[in-house]
Amino acid sequence: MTDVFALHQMDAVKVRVKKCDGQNTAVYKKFSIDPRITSFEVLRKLLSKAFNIRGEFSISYLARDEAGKPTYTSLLSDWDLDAALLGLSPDSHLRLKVDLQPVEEGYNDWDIICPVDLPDEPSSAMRSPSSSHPLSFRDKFISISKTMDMVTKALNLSEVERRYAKPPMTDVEYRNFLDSDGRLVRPLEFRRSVFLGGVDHNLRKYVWRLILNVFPDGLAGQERLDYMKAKSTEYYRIRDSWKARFSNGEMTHQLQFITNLVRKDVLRTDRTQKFYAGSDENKNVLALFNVLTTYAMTHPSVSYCQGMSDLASPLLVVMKDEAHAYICFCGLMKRMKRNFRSDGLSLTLKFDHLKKIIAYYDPEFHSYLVQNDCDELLFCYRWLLVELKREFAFEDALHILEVIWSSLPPDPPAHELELTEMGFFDEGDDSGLHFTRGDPRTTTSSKSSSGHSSGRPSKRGSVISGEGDDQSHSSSEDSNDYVLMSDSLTDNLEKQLVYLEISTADASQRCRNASEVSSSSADSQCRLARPSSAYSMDNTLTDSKVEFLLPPSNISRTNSDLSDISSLPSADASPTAVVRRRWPQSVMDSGVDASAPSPSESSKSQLPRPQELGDGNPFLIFLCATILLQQRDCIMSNQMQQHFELAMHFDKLIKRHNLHKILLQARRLFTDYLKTQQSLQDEAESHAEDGAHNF
Amino acid sequence: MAASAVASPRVHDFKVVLLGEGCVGKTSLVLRYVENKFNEKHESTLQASFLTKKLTIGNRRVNLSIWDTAGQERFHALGPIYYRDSNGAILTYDITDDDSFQKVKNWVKELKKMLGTDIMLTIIGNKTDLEKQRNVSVETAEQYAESVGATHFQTSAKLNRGVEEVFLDLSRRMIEQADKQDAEKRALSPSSRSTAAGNVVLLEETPAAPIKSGCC
Repeated sequence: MTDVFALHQMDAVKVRVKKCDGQNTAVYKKFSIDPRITSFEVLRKLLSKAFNIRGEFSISYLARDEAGKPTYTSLLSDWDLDAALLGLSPDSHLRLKVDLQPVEEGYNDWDIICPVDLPDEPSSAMRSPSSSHPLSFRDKFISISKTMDMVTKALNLSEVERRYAKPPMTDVEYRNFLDSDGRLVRPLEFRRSVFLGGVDHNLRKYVWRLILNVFPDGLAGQERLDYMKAKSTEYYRIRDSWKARFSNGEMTHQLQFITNLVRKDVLRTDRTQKFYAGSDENKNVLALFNVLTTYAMTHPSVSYCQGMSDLASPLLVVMKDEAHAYICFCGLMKRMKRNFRSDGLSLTLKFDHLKKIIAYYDPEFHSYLVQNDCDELLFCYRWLLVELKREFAFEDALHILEVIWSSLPPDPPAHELELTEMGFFDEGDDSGLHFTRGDPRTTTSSKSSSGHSSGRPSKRGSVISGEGDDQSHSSSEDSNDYVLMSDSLTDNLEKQLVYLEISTADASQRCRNASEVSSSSADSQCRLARPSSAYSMDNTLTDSKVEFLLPPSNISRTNSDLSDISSLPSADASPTAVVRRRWPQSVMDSGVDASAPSPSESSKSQLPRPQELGDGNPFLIFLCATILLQQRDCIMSNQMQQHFELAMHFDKLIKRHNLHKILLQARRLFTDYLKTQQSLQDEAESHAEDGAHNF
Repeated sequence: MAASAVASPRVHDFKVVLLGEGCVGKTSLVLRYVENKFNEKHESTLQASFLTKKLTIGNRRVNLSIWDTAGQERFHALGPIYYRDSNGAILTYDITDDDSFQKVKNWVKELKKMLGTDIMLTIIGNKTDLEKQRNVSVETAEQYAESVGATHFQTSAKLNRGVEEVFLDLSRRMIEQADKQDAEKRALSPSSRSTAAGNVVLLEETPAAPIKSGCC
């Protein structure tokens, strides 16, 4: 009795299964079962489903024989299952072996106990622990199917492990992504690899520059070094111009304001890290101050806001070089400055999308939040503002940041990364602040001591038209650009979707890629046999890769340029307008609407498209949603009903989140979402103009 | 129920919000008060956090719910969410930083505009341990506080000077205000309960549902 009771106490038992078919090598799977409601029959069904077994098979479990030696013993009944479970020491796996050649004896026994017999089985109380509860047949049936669900989920989890995670990128793997000249080849696969496993710490310095869109496309290794050198020189020149005024005491109001704000924050940013520890004179603290002040001075439309020090700090820790950190910060802020706008539109949109994702994946939790007036999710503000940097311990934060960055499509600068805001003037320096490798532009950004507000109008005009000629965008050519963008958008929408799809492609898809890719270790984990029918997909992938190796997509560039334009006093476009231009309604909606989707499809299409979701960072929304969903049981069972209770709950979890678990589930949800979106897109296309395969 | 309120043991649930420019010491003040801790290099607050403190004043029991807000954030929609329904506000400046004192004035204006006179205001000049670098004179600050009906205190969260007093004084004033509102309510109608701020609640009774005020 005590034993049965002990069995009843067990919540979940981890199971490790080895499948042997006598010919090929064994296949392993892991999952967990709830021993209280898992009968022998259920287990059998699970195993046949897990290994996709059509024929007969026998099960045996690993136990110690009388001599104490581990041996496989036949598992033929509920009785055996109980014995197997009771023989387990706490926290050990139940080890099962599945043999495809049926053992005669096992088959006979199995035949006796069939599901129909279960409810009326008089001795079931002895055999099945679940029977210690008097359950009706219906209850039992429900609990069995629940277990099936749970275990199916658990099986998926081990599958998920394999598909949606890999070890961090190593030096060897990194080199495989470079050609003999050190040029990055297969940039999408490169990003995918970082997305799935992050990067070895020693490599971060190099990989981060690549995924933060610092370099124009196609630079060889040496060219990248030269580029960083030139950009560093440019940085120091910009920095020294305010530094000179700073030390001469020529403090403008702007400089004073900014340095005050920045100083307060760098003195308390990541100071527990060895890198920033010690006295306030720590040279790394000073370097962080320089980076942030330079950015704020040269980006008057953004200036400085709390949270930016959190974004810049990891860059400096990884780069260990002030100028390089600044360059990367510019690459990062190109996308993230929207978060710091005072109109709050970007964050409002992100909150809204997070709500939608929660409502979609967990309607019950969503209505709980709505009922308790917590669906504004304000306790997620910091998550969205600094992309979860504060929620994780520092090392984990580095990992999650690189995973987030690599989830985004490449967005390399057309010529070079701008280190100052468009419309920022440097009065003291007309010789050009820019890295000018083959750059035909004659005008450069210049500065004024008080930023854009006192820029000389005549000069500003010339700068803008100069830029406009070269980069085919300018505020004065806004209306023309709009048309131009709409056309290119149609092209790029598809490319971006394909990118997103393949960036999170499942294991089998990676296997297909492996056939056209040489020795990438990213693919070494793909050992599954692959069907030949997969090759049609290869073509798509290859094409899209080629497309992506071409000069960068107009979408992202256009978007950031538009943001720049909108920050100019003369052309203050609202971010909504930017979003609309970026993904015109005609591209986004018409096809889907025309297809008159069925109810289930229309509910799928309620989710924003990948290029809209999260205002440029869809994966972040999935990460935040995952954190919420993983806490939902805790929140609901503890009846946390008020905003402050949820805020306190999540404050307690700061730096205690399980990074691996969150990433795994988020990657999986995100991939499922992208697939759904892709199929919606496909459907929309097939319903669009007849025979129009324009992409 | 309301009729029996006089005799019932009462618990005051007060909501207090800390506002002020970044890095004036809001988090340090509340951590000193609630947990008696001080961390010179506490990271900046990006998102409001919530702390509670229970205290007994005379025969009254007070539950303080304190929202420690982010000093410098640009998502203005958040502000009203934290100060709406507040019974008290602690507006903090750094005595070495005149800009932070000007920011206090802005907060006073906004709170008066949004919440009227229902909310009890306390203005704090923090960091008296940096007296040598003082940039805001005590007289100026006290005069201003008086002109807007606020109490003025000087504190040092670092040295634990004056912190308890701030919350004690504010709690007393919130009790007074609550009693006043209670009396007014009873005078108006013994059975009706206003949803306005001033949540004097009976034990076992849930506070009135918060009103959603329009955000700017």
